[in-house]
Amino acid sequence: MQKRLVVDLDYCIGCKSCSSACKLTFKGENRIVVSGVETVAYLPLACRHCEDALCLRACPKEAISKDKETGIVSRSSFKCVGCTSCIYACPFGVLDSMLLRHIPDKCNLCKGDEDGPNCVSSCPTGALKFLTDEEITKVQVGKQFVSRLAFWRRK
Amino acid sequence: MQKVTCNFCTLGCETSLNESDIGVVDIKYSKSGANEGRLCSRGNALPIYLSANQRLTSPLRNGQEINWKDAFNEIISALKNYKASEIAITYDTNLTIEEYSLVSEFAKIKGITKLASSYIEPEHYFNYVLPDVKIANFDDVKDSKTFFIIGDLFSQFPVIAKAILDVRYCSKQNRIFVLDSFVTSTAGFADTFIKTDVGKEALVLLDMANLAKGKTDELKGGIEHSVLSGVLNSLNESEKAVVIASNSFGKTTDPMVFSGMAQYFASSLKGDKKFLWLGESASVPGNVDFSDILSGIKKKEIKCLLNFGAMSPVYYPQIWDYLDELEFMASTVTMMPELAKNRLSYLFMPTTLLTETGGTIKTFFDGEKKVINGVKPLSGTKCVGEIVYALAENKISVVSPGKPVIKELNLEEVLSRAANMVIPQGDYILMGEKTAYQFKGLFSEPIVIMNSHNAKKLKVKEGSVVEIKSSVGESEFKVNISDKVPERVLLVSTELPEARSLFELNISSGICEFPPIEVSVCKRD
Repeated sequence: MQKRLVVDLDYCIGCKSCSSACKLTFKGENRIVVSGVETVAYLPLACRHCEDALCLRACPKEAISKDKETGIVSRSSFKCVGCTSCIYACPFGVLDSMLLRHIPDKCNLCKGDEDGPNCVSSCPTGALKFLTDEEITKVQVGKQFVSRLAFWRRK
Repeated sequence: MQKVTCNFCTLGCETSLNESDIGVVDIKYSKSGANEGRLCSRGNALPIYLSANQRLTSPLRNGQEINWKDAFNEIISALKNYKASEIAITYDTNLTIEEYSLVSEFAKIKGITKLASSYIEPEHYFNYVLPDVKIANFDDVKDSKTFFIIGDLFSQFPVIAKAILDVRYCSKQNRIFVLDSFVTSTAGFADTFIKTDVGKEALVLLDMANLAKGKTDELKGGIEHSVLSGVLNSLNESEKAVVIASNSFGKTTDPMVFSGMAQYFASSLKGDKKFLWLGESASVPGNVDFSDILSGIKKKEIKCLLNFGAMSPVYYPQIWDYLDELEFMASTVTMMPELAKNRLSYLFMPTTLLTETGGTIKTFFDGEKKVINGVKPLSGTKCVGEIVYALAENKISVVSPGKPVIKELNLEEVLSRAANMVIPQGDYILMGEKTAYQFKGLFSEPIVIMNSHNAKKLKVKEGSVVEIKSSVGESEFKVNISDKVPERVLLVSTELPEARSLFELNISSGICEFPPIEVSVCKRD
């Protein structure tokens, strides 16, 4: 069953534990970056593993593929020539880390880990969740956040 | 996969580590303990720290490796060369309760009376407790309705944030109040954020305590009466509330006053209100302060120093001048600072971390608990207990673990210190803030956060490099511009050695202080 990474804005405190867990897992640059408006809201950004992945379509070498079963979008370290097309194509800007040839520097949701990605397991407040589409509909992500800030209520 | 207790702070989180023949290689976030396996950045670094290259694996004398037998013989003969009054023993936060008892017993056998904590971080002074303060535990936090948080708790101890936010979101009536001198991520979650001037947090707490006791003296902290009384009413009306304090190296002018005023404020509230402080694994005050040891060294009254724990005093370059005057010093260390290796010619003994030692420690989540030490000690290291037994030449009989001493704080003394507190002045003031993500510089490079006005004045942009010079050192930092810090303030992470070495140690007030200091700053090309 396909699962997605979900961020509950009410609980993200911007502690970057997800980034450090990712950095340690991949023994290199972290593939999840905490962004947002400082002290107002934090938003850990990682690959969305889009249904219709633009990075996949942009790749001239077919280095990017999507697993039909898990939905994971992965980049082959052998086929990738480091042309950066995928970086420009990504609408979320999560593929902007330094691209080195033969290094698939991209989130793969800690493929194979039964307990889900390490960023989710390490998250001290439980703001990061790994849920199925059905489970996502039951979670009120950012409910408190929206009621706390008048700006979002108007929207 | 080995289950372990994290050794970094007082919370006592649990996790699992994957051990192989080459050491600890990986972390597994098993859902155990009150933290449900969740960890902060510092905790995530546990495998790196346990098998770090910088860890010492054999005793070191004048930079040369020696064997354990020679090391013990040298210390035993040195102890015989000095009178008991010329010897001091210090210890830090890495010891178990059993090891504290052993060290105390060892001092008793040798007739050594000067014992102090070498953990001289500001939060050490939270161990000095006012008599009528009720200390909160994890259950109190979960049952509480209102929180008054002093400092950037969420960035320092992210794992506790879940419990606090759960309480806040379960009822519309529940509240979070935050007091700090600059805007932090904790402040972002506050219903009311009280932003003080730099160095005036303790004075605002004193004002609030006075208001709570019905004294309407002049307010010294510079915060309006209406704001303070609004927060105070809300706290007093709340069924259960907890005042939580945290402190950082380089942030507070006088940590004793900071600790005293936070407790004074908590104890002045009506009803079931408790106090909680969070810091590194509980440090225990000795019978003297570490500043007394340093003064004793300067006066040549102390000639020999033995230190037990992971964070040897040599981690503070600010105190090397004092330590250089010692005739003999032996210390246990886990990691050997590169700079100290070249400069100091003392005897270092490699020791284990709590995660490897086992024994009882006091944690926030579970109170007094046995450390789960599923990881084998690093080859070549010895735990403090083993070292103390050897140094006592096996004369210590089995010691039953005693209760760590809590020192009583004298309110009169704290109030008089508060009245004489010096508020930092100058064009640029360097302040420190500790966040878990900047742990030992493992995840982030040295940055200085300054406000846009200061950046304009210094003609620097985001990412520019500046050199900051203080009276004790100089370092380069990348600029990060954010208006969350007030004008004049240059904020650095004091988890980073580059930043720590810039702060001056002040022992003139009878305690160890690393207050915010005036610095000069210039742009680098």
